[in-house]
Amino acid sequence: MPLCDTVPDLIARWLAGEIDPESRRDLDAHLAGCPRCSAEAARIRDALALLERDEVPDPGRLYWESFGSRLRARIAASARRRSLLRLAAIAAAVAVAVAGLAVFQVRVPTAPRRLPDGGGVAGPAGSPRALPVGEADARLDELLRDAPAPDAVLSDLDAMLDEIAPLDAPDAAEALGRVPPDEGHTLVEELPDGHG
Amino acid sequence: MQADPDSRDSDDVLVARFLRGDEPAFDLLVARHRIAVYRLGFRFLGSHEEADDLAQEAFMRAYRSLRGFRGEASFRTWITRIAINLALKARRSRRATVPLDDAPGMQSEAAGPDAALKRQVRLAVGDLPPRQRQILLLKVYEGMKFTEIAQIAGISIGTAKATFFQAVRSLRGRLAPLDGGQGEGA
Repeated sequence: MPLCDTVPDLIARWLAGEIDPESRRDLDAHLAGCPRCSAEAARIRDALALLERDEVPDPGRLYWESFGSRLRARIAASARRRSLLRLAAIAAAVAVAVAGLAVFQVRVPTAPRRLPDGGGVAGPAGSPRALPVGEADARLDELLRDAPAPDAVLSDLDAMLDEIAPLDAPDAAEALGRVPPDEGHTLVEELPDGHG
Repeated sequence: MQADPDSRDSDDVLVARFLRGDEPAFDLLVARHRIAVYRLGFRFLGSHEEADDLAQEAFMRAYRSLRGFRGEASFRTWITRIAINLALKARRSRRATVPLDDAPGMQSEAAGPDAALKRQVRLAVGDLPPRQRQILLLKVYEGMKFTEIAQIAGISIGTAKATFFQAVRSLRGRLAPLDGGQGEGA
């Protein structure tokens, strides 16, 4: 015979349809002999029965007839809002990327790189490489030999020279003119007209 | 066009049709389940306006998410879960807790032999912790089995049963006997 303290659990299992036959017999026997537990069981049973019968007011035919069309309108409005938000997000991302690139271009310094074999300092990353003197002379000779005519437009020559020694390289002059001090060379001495 | 809720296709077939681009199949699903969803919203929130908003929102979310529906539960279980979550969210967002009995739609029965007990029951149910109230309502109002309740609530079957038992014990403590006896604390 269960004690009164265990009866609430048995009642809950009974109401949930989860009580085993032996426990159901114990519960029935206790309720038959305990007025207090019997009254509580009846109260809970009646309360749940009331809940089961509790009807929700019907909103009416017109409400149900409009339900589907209102839902479709809600779905369409939501889709429009999401498209606008998506466009706004893309625009914002592009703006941030552009701003970030602009800041990056301004802030990153163009530090010179040193060439191998003591050949001087290379130009900034991405700009034409300044060549050592000997190689620059050979390259220039080659370009002049292949030039279309002696009276070629000056801008073409400028372009060829820029290829060898870009004017915008911070150390272009130094790159062309670095001469080992022990050789005693000066550029003046290399001029083809023999001066020096 | 009004969807015919008596269409012979099962929910699974209607979902499959919708996923293949058959939009009216979704309308059929709505027609079939809207009353249950509306009723659940009304019982949780207590007013026609809130129940309508909940039902519309639940089906809109279902429309957007149906492509991710894996079919591990029935459509009914799934839409009920959406509705329950929306109801719990709506109740949490209320600044002051409105007892269910004081909600506009619930002041319908001023007289009758069961009026006093009904009011007391509604108040007691409204005072339950959210999870206990949810499971009690699904078990009693919707007549659902614990397997389905567990799927909706995202808990194990054992937890669903235990929570139901706790809800019943809590109700017992909240219901003062109308015959003048003493009610006990929960």
